Amino acid sequence: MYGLTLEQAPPYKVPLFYYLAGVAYLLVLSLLLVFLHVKNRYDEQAIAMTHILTLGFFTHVMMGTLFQMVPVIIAEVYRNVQFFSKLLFVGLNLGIISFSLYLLGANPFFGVFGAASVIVSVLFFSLYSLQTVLKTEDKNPFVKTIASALFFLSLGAILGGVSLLQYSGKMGGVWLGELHIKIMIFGWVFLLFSGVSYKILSMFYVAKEYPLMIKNHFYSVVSAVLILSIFATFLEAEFIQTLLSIALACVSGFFAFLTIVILKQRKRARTDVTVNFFYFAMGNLLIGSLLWVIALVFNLHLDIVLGILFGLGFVYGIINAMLYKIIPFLTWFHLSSSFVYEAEMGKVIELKKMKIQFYLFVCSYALFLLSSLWPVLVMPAASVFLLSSLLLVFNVMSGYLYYKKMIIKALKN
Amino acid sequence: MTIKDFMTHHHRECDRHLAAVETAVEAKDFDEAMRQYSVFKAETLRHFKMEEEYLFPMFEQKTGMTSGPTQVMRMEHAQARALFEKLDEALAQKQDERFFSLSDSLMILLQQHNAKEEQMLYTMMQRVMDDENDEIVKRLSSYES
Repeated sequence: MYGLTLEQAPPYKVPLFYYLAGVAYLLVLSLLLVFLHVKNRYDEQAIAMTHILTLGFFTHVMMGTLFQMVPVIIAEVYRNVQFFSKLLFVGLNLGIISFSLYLLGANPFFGVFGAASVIVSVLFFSLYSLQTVLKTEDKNPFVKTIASALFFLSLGAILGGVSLLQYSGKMGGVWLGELHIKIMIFGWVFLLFSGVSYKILSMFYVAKEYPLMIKNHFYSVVSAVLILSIFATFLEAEFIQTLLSIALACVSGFFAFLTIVILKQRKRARTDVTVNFFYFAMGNLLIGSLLWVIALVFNLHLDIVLGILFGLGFVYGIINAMLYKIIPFLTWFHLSSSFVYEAEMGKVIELKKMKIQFYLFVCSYALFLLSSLWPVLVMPAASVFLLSSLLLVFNVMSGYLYYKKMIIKALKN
Repeated sequence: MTIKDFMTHHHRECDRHLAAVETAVEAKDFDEAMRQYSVFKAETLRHFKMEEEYLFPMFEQKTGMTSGPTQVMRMEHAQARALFEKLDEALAQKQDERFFSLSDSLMILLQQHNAKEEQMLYTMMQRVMDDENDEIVKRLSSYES
């Protein structure tokens, strides 16, 4: 019955510090995009930027969200969450900073230390979360899907470490890196979002539940395809790898389409900025999946465009939506639980600023897409992305500052 | 029907009522919004009453758990009641932006509250009060606000 006692819920600062760190990395990435000019996705600078986005921004927000959501949704708490979340935070950040510095030209020691620290931190988080979610007696589709996602997070982290050895020349080829990307995008991020969507679409938007068949079997289909892909990669069975990638694209495209339909039929009439981000993210997943099938069938090299659609369109879109849905509620909820009834959710982050940030982001996304045809647009795209990131940092900060302001005001009274 | 099914179904009904209020406010039809809001508020407060006056005391008596889960649920009911007062104001003054901000708070508050009840509390209640299931459901069906 841990999840039902207020003392066991994570303190406000736990998810908030993860969110603040996440948006700080996004700002660093935006500055690097403006000042560094990367030509090839295998460049060390490009790999550094990719990991600042994925480990720095995405992972921090996902971890902060799971710390908050798991106790609420499955009523099981993370044990000693204050201590372990801080320990994880330190390990993960030392790792990301060292690893990125190495890729940006620092001493190789930073690379070894950074990679080890990131892998240990991610493995720790996976096992810590797995142990928490599997404590529940009710192994519902959400629990099974999240557990599968956490399994693939561990696997992806290990593959990332091994592919680093391959990249540094200690092993041949780059194929493990491709497998690492596939496992992280579809095994970790996609499965995690599908599990979270089962809950939040009906909870936040009063939408219909996903069909039971999807909820019960989707995670096992994705997991099976990914596991077969691993075997096919190790056996160098290229044709089977292609077929499995097509299967993965069809499954993710179908999920995106279904989510759009469910969201369209929601009972809550209002289209707020989080709904816009959701549509945007699922639209990108759908188009990205279709384009991926075309690229596989006709052997086209669309890596950059697919990277923008999946990374910036799909994953970033969902992450941004989560921030705007969770932070205002979390801030209001903690204030209200501390008897600060004067607080209102609508005052935590200004609606207008959230909308402006959404439009800036969409504009930068469109420019990045166009830059794959006209490289001259990279700089304008990066500049608009910097503005969007600055506003996102401001918006997230304003949530935390509103909380502090209201608490101080209440204490004075 | 089990106690858990009955209460869960009532949660969903309340969600639909709140969505109907929002639809009316979105259309700037404040008369219709007020009508829908009265139904939503009455049903939600009736739900709280069923729990606070009937189910929680029975559960506490049977398990001896007087602090803890039911206490937290009561506290969240108080948070929701405080929001109702502000929603009354916002609707009376036809402040649609403020209404949406408050209804969003209430919706998420109720959703996370319901999730905890449905996932744990009702399951425990069902286990403890299963022998009297039919009688309890009958009483809940005719519970007045």
